[in-house]
Amino acid sequence: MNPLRQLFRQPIKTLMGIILLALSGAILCVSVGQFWASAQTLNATEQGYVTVALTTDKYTRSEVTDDNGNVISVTISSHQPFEVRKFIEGLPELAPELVQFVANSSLVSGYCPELTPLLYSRVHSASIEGGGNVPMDSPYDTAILEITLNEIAEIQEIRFADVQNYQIELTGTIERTVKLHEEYDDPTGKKLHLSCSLSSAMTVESLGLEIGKRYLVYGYGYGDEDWTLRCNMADTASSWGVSLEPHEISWEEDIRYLTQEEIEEIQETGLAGSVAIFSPDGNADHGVFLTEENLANIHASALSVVAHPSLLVGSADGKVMLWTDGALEEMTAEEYATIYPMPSFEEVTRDSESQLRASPVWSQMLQETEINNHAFPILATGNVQAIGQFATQKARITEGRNITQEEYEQGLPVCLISESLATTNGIEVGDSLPIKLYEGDSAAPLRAIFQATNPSPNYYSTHKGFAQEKNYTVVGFYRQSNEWSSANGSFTPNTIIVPERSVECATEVSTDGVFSTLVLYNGVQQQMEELVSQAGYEGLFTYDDQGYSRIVENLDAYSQVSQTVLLVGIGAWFVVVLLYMVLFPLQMKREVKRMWTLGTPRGAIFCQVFFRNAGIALAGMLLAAGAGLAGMNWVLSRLTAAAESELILTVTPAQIVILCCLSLAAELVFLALCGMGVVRHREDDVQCPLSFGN
Amino acid sequence: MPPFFWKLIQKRKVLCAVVALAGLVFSFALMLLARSKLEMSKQIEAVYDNLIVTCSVTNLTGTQEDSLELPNWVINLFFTGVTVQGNPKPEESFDTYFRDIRAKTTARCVLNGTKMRLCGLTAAEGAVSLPEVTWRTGYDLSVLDGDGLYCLVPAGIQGDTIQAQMESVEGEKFTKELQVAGTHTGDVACVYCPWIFGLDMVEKTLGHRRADSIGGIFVDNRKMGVFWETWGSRYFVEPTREGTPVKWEKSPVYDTYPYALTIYDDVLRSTTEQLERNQQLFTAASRLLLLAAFGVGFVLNFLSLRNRSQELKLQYILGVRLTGILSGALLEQGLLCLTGITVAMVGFLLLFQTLFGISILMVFWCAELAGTILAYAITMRKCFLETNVQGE
Repeated sequence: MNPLRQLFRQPIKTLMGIILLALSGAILCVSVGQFWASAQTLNATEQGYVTVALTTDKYTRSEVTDDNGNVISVTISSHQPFEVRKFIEGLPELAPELVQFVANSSLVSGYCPELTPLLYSRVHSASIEGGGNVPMDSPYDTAILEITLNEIAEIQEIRFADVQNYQIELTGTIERTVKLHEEYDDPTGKKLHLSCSLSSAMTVESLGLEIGKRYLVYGYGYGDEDWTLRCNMADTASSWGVSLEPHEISWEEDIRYLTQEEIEEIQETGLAGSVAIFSPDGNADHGVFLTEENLANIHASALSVVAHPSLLVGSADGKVMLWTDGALEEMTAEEYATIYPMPSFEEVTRDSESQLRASPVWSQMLQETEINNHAFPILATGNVQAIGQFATQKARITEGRNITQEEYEQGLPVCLISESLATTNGIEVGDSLPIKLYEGDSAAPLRAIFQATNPSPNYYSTHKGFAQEKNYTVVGFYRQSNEWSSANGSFTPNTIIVPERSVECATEVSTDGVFSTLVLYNGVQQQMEELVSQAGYEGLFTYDDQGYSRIVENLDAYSQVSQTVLLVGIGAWFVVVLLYMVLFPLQMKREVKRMWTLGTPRGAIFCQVFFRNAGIALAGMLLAAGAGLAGMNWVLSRLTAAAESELILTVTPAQIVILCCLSLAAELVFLALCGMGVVRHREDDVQCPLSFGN
Repeated sequence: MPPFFWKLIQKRKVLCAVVALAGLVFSFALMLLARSKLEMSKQIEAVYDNLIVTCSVTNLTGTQEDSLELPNWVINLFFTGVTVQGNPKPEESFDTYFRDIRAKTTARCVLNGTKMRLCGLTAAEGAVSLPEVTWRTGYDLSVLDGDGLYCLVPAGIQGDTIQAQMESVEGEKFTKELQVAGTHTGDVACVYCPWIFGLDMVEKTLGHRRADSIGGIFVDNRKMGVFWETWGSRYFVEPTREGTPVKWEKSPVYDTYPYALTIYDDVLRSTTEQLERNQQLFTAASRLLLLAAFGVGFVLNFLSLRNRSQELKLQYILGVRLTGILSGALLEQGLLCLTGITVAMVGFLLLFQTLFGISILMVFWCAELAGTILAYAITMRKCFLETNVQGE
């Protein structure tokens, strides 16, 4: 007897058997599928929460107390003490069950000609108070100007930390702005206050300076004194309740010069030296008294110049000592100036433009200034969400998307930029930005001060050149709730965030500020604080988990729901398979008895029972796999359409097929056991091989 | 019920047990499924309740939430719900949607000859923005929510009290004595004080009330949409990238909306969206499971009745009417299923003290009966009876 042919003798029963097993398979697939989807959802949800431990200022303070224990003075360092830093660095090894990883970011400078950076000094806000973490405008403060020299003061000696310096103050009129950051107001026609550093051997004559002559001047630290004065006056007016924007101030209308009588009147008061009064609304009750020094800043700018580049790296006796590539190098000041040329003044003897282009040194300064004016701090990171500002939700992605895990791992050239930078420069998500990365040159005369908060790019060094060139695709914009903030861990809106592995050149790192965040496993803040307290550093960290600890129980309960359904599904599958055994193989006792009576070998009987039912099980499995695939695909497609976005829930066809195969294997095992049981039962049951009966 | 009925059941103990067991197991499973759906919804609701969503007034691009010089009407909105003090307050107003208002204001003062900033904070703002504070005995963050004359001074300032000198808008100098509640490690030019006192001093020195920053925590996260439609959009706009001014027609003072209201609900939205999406999948999966359960019930009853086909045909031969055979079969199968369902319901009630999905159980029971009817119809079809009953 062909067992499979027997199936067609009772087609309806066979069909019902197939449907029964198909349904049991479908129940199993759907139960496991929903559990798997639920587990993926919860995993993705958890990954959206990043628990960070941010260092506080507690251990950066050092107090000086008197004999009675009263605090006389407090000094706050910008870095954690050495022992604290060592402790923090050792935490991943000390507590691997608490610390997921240390999210380190690093800094490199990048030149992007298609973007113009924003200037902090152009932001008028009284909120950005002083402090060591104030954003800086370097390296956007270099300038090349053409001036007419109007005043030359005497050379002054300045002693600073046992070092003798010489300085000369000059005043000129800006005839032409050759190179200056675009965000500054055009200073052409304005006064320029120059502060020039000299060496002891230099004189005014040696500089070749004469009043009335025109000079090209290269300098750094450009400041719009007029704008600064306007901001100060607007802030003062605000304190009177007068709302005034800096650009609304009219010096001609809002300043009144004091009469001689008024000046004599205030001689004996704290206002001595004032020569004018600023009253924006003409209100005599409110006004700011201004000195000559204040008035000198009206329609004026300032620039620092250095007569010789070696003066910026410290030279003695015409020699310069440089620490480069781990070795101390000595050279003469002239040799240094050859490697790092930095002009100061050059008399304009013909057309200044052609004079500039003809000079290799000035051409280099033009190029360096151009690069500096389009330089950006590039923050290379392995996890944007672990950066302090993002983790504490002070910064968030508002358009586009975050950098994906694949992009981090492969170091793909993608980036995030600030909304403000994008809007100012007309950049959209998906645009490509050519960025040339360069490293800071510690031997160069102009070097940016490295800050762990609000880091700025370095000045470009032609001697070092560019280290890497790539086109970065903008994948998203971020927005900060206070984009110019001096709070610890802040970064400026000029910051471009890229995957760490996309940067192949040397970078600057720090264990403070924006560069280092301790990322913990979710829900372990309390244990972490206990550990830190035991080590004697209580209060070293504050924790932020975006609210995870408030919902962790809910997520666990949510997970239990799908676990329960999974168990119910498996139980229901088991019961249906059991019932199938009762309704099919176990109903074959009579047939088995007949076959045994007719002398059929045991093996053949077993095969008859097994293969007939296995055929049904196989057909049921195929039907279950097809129904399961179709069902899940239908559900997922409906959900994707409703969500209008890519779903993270994935139940692959392979998973469903594997599940059905496992179900089939289990059913075959049960069938085999049932079959053996039925055969053995009939063997024991039959005493007379020729007896018939029910 | 005739004794014959029970004898029939006793003859087919295994099959009857199969039908009853199927009814029991699947009833329990269906009720558990219904309960799971409710439980899932409950947890999502709990996430809405437990996650904190804040909002704050910002500039139009959402990139500045401090030093905004917010006028009195904005302060009134958050604290009293009306823009002008003294106006009648509706039952549900702007402020009823918020708790733990975070607000800061700054006045200028002179302390020991040094110009200082006097920052008035609410306790909620202090909890977020205060630097490390060493509180003196008996003081904590709650002093900021009171109207007492307390302050937090920079570390290094001695004494139990300070004399803050200020100048009123009329030009009159006055001094306020403040009790030192603690020291802070923040800006050395800043003295922190309670919000009410700080606001009072701002009003005295400027002639009007003004806040640097203001925001709050939503009382009910589910009502964010309602809040925005009813109140938020009346006075503020959503921040945009360009910060383009939007005309404010209903304002007697402003041509355009001067401020935006930024709601920080990213975490809540991403969490609940994912959970709700999974819940939709679960709902769809549970519907498939329901259908599968009905199918199993149908097929099981069909097969169990088909196993009795000989007996049914014998009944027919012995003269039992077709309707009698059907009613007998339905009675037997129905009672067995109902027994299983009842036992499941009792067990569920004992375990969870509640019942779910009774209507679904009834549908399941009907599906089982439908299987019985179909099996009967196929077994007792006329053509088969006419050609084969002789053979039986």
